[in-house]
Amino acid sequence: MAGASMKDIKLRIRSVESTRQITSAMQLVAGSKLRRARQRMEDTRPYMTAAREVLADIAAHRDVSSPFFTRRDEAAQCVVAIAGDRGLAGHYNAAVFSLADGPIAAGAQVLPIGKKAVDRYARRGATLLSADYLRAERITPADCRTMATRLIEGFLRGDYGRVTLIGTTFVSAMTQEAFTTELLPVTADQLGEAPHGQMLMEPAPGALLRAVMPDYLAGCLFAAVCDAVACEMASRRNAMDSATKNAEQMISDLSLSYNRARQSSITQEITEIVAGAEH
Amino acid sequence: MTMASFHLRIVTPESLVYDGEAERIVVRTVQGDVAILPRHIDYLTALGEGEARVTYGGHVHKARCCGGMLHVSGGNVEVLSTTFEWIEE
Repeated sequence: MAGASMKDIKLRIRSVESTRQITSAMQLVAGSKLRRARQRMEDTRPYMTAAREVLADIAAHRDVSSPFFTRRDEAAQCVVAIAGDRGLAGHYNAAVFSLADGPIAAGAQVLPIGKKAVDRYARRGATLLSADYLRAERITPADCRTMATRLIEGFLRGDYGRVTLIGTTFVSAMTQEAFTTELLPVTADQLGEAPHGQMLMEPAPGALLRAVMPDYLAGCLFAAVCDAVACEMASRRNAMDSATKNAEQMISDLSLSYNRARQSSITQEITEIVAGAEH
Repeated sequence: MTMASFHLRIVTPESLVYDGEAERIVVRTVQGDVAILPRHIDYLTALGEGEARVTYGGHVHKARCCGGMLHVSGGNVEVLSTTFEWIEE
């Protein structure tokens, strides 16, 4: 009786032990990827700050009237959804989907980034702008430029009047928050006050805006992707950290029951021997 | 006599490529090549694809520059480019 249960416990300890090894290895990998991803994320900041200033300068110009600045609330929507390449990252993917599912179910077109997002929305039969961006980690500025050009083409053609980005922002290594933001049309709160006075623009503001818009949008997308990748890694590291801790707790509980079972089987044996000797 | 210079920053979405003094920069814009010298007026243009030549420390440094914008304000020059790669001589 006691022997069988000891064997069962031993097997469970062994299986939990191997799970713990996997989760702790994943935690280490995510940790080192997180360091790289954070650096990449920090490196996008100077470009975005400067690009926002340039856009604000153009927006502040007297003669500018452009579809990029014109709000059309009733228009169809296109959603850029940035999720992860893999699961096992806590609620990272789920948080993005909970924001993106609503508009996409309502018929919005979608540009999914990351395997999880591509698979999910392909399965749901949403209109995908592209299903090529499976690895969020590997996305380059050139990829973002291609996406931006595509988004702008559709926007100017009138396929959709709003482009929304759903991603995750890196608050700290412990906290990541999913968010929704408008990419197009460009809103004033995206840019802030124009820091400079009137300036000479070549070509004229409208044409200039048309020329720099893909670069600006590509910068926004790239920055968002870098943020999201850092969040995914942080989220996975935290999830794997708690999984490892849980496994350790389980192992220590199981060891305790194993030792109890062992002790009780020894006690029982002694009792039996003593009982036998007395007769 | 030292050459007059201006502050130049070159940034791409991936990194800060250059941040320092420069004497001259020539870039390919959507409408042709433009050279920026010190004390240029506030100016904004879109970049095309082509070679950029940056003069600093008395030497011309060449780079491959693709897309983006050139922004001059208060004498400071910023190049925001999608890709900017120095070409080693």
